[in-house]
Amino acid sequence: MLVLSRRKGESVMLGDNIEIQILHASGGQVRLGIRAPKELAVLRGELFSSVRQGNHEAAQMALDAAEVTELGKLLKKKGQD
Amino acid sequence: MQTQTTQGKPGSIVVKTLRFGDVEVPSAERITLLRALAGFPDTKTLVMLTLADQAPFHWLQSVEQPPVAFAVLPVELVRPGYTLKLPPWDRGLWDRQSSPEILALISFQRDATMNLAAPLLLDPRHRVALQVMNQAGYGLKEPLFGEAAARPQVAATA
Repeated sequence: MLVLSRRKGESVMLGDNIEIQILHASGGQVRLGIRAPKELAVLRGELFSSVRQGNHEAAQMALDAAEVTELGKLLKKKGQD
Repeated sequence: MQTQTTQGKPGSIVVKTLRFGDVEVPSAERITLLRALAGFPDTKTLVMLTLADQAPFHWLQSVEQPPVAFAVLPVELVRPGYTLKLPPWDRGLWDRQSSPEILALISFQRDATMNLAAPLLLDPRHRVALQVMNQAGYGLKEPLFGEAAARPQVAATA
């Protein structure tokens, strides 16, 4: 990982069209300003991680075909209630 | 990387899968992901498999990765009135006139849950799909059974 020190108001460029600026830093918290092309996803790291984790859980073998059949029956039953 | 397909009959491919064995699917039914699903950068193409007696569930099987398959459910069946609010980067990628089919990924840990915060949009006609970050305030793990929370769970905002 590249590590840089920056002061308030200074920025870092990623390539030529992504800029991350330090707006404010105090009490263990840093406020960032991010300028990036609008098609680029900018997400808090933990949100991206939770989506990735959710996808991995969805792809796990824990859910097998027989269970899906049972879930389908339950859903249909619920629909008729 | 090596693609896990071989030629089947003309106009079809054979997809190797861990769950379902080798499955022959018409080539035209392949679904191209506009962006890889988070955590699955090697899967670019999916096929939808519907097993007998499993309606309304479908499987989205990775063409490139035999062990990877997602059980999905059309959101409208379980959450009528489900709304989408896409962030700018998703709106930029999902630049389509027709309204998409919206599919929720199902996971089964202790309970069956569905991911309504990051659903998969599918354009069935052009065979493209995109997992989006819905910013309308739904949860990553909403119960498949039981009432929808009166108030949406913690919003998955950027």
